[in-house]
Amino acid sequence: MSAASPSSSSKSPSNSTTKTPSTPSEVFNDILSSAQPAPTYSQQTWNPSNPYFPHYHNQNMTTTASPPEPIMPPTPALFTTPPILQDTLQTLSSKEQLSTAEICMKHLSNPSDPFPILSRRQHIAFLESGILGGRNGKLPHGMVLLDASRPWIIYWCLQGLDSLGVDVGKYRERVISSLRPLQNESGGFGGGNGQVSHVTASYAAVLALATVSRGEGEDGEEGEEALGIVDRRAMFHWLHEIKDWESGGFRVCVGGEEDVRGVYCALVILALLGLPTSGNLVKGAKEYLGRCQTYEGGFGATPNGNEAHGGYAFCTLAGLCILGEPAEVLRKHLDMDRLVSWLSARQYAPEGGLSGRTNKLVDGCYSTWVGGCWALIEAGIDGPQDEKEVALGQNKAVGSLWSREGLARYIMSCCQSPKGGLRDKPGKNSDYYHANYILLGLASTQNYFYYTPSPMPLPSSSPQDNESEDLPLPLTAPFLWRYSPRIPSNTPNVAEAIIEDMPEWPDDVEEEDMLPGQQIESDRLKVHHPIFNIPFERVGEIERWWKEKVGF
Amino acid sequence: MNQPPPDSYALDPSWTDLVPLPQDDGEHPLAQIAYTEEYSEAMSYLRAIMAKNEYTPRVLQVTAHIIEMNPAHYTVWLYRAKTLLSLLQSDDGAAADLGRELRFLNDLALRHQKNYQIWNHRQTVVEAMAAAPELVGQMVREEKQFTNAMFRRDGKNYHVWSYRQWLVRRFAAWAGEVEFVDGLLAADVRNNSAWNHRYFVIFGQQGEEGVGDEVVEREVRVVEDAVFIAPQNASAWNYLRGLLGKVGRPLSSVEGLCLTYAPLDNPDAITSSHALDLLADIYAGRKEERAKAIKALELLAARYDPIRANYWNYRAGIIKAAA
Ligand SMILES: [Zn+2]
Repeated sequence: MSAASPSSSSKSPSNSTTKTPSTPSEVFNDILSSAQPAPTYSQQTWNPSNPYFPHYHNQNMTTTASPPEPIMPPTPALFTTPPILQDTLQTLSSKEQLSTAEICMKHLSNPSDPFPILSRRQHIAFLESGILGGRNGKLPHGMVLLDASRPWIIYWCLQGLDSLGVDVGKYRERVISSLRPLQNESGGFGGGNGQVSHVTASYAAVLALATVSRGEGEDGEEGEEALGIVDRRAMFHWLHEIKDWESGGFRVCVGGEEDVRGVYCALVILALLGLPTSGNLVKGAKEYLGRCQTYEGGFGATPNGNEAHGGYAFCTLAGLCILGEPAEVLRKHLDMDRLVSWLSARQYAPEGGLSGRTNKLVDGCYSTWVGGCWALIEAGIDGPQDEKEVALGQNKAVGSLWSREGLARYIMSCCQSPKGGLRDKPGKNSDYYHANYILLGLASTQNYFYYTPSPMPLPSSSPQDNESEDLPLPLTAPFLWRYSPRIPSNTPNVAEAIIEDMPEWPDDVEEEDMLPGQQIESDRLKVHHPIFNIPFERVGEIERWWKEKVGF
Repeated sequence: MNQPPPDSYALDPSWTDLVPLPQDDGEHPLAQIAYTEEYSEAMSYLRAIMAKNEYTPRVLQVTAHIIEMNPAHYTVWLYRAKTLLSLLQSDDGAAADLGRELRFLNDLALRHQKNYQIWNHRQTVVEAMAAAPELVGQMVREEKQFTNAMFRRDGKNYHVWSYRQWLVRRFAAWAGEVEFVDGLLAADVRNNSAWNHRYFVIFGQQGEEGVGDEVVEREVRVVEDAVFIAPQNASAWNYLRGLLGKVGRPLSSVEGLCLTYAPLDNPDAITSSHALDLLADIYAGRKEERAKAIKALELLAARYDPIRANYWNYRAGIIKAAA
């Protein structure tokens, strides 16, 4: 247990590590009161605008006269002690779990840095190396394993950089010239030049194009939309080719396997490109997604009985939320109680992070695949929210059903690689995939996403569901989401947690732009869209782009 | 095995009829990969062959070569599958040795545990082999053996489980599956993939009429035994809930079992948060015992599963609102 003790010297709050954890708030108060005198660790590492401590912030708010000195409280016992219930029987699963929990506890309870700050510059350098390559401008040949996933690399790095505050618009032309040779005449994108069109490669290509801004055209006017290089008509035809009319699902490519990724990726492509849903392309998709729910409450890869898995959970929920208003479409097609129970069980203590399956280990990438589900679920429970009420903090919402603090701690303490980039867990190397999905997950802890009422009835809210799916309308539901840094609280008498006092991150963080003393060391990330996982502000631009189109 | 690749396609007489097709990466491409000479050359010859829509034995040679360097190259796999199937139909049928293909896949699967494409391709090959009905029994036995070997390396490999379930359903090979799961659970009672497969098998082979009472009771006993040795094993409790829900038995039928591991009147003796969770649902369904449900949820939030406090409080809130 010595590793879990916040400080080995003098008056360490040792009771916090030996006592049974009671409620998180009690544990926290305990620690605050026992953390006197001021801790020995460097104040520089403490980020006073850290959003993840609702109770700490509450204290700030009650002492209105002069805010207390920002101190960094030691890690709560919840994250530094093993769970209170542990079986004596050991098996492979429990041994792996135990050793993971132990190494995470070590990171989480680091007395000199209980809540590390986001190593922004290092992560930026890491992600830039992913798109720009090394000194020869190329990725090392070992990356050949991703030779059929090049749109993915580009998307992961661009989105990760955008989250970190880098203006990725500067890559616009190169993104276009990199992806153009991947598009096939018969529709869709392959993972590389000359490769067969694949729905995940097409999805990643569309997302990569969607991350970069419209740029400036001649005369300083708004430039061409990067998504304009997509042959929408051919894409539309190709999507018909991979549609499985019997099951309602989509295959990943002509002759390829069929699973829920196919559905989610196809729906994102349809929605972002503003393609019509005529020709019944979405017919049976909701039912297909609903059938992927398993007896555990989570979602398998197909409706055929696969094990519930976090990756497929996000695909299913986001897919349904593209097809309609969350409160309606989720409640209609899913067993919400079992779903919420399973999703909630994905968060572990002491790690704080999220796992993908029952009795599997936490992994940073589930910060998106599982963590990203919470916004969708909470919207499904709350129903549409009024933007003005949200802004005033007057809306009725269920609040967070998960521990944002736990996930943020796991990400900050366990997922940041000392060499830059983010990783699955301590002991693993960082990679572009994990870096992006961990950053998106961190951004999810910092924002409240909600669904606003539709100005006109959505196709899905008509009672005659099947008929309305014939309407040649683009999918509009995902464009009705909004976000707020004001996260509704679910703890009575605790003013809402966070976040307004977090400094906004400057738009682009070129090293040379930074001023001495600038509030650069903030954990605040740029916000993404909860369904598309692209920069939030781009979604409105993209919607305007396809709305201006007539036909293809 | 596959014919070994030539030292150089450009210099090998069996390849010189082709003009290699280079890759177009566009101008100033992002995320460009520094290929080895060997990979670039093999790929450019494959592109040339694909452009001709050629389905000959040498396709198997070059695709095997590329797959060895990059087993995630789905286009290469698809073209290989197409070639195999086309060779089977042709006079050159002997060139498409499906048994050899499976051995090729075995070797790859063991070395690339996380690969998707291998298993998709395997499905294609096995489907083609099933054209000879007299061989199906033996083939399915061998396929099960091979997946067993994979599970010995990783009992939770998602692709292998998907394949196993496809195999079992496709060939109605349900026999022995429950015993197989028993073996996996004896080795690691927390293997959730094995529990999931149990559910798949129990309910998958029954069709519409559902499972009989004796099966349900046997399965409840399996759970009882499992939670006896590891009360905090979520997999077993999830299975129990799924089982009861599927056959329409009330949760209250296992109240006694839950109280064994979560005696509400003696919270210090609680050994399973999952039993507490179930009790909360059982009592929430009974008006006069809602206070007990709240108590169970409060114990979960405050003591036994506090990382999920928000969720437990949410559930308690729902019960209070209904009261
Ligand atoms: Zn991961």
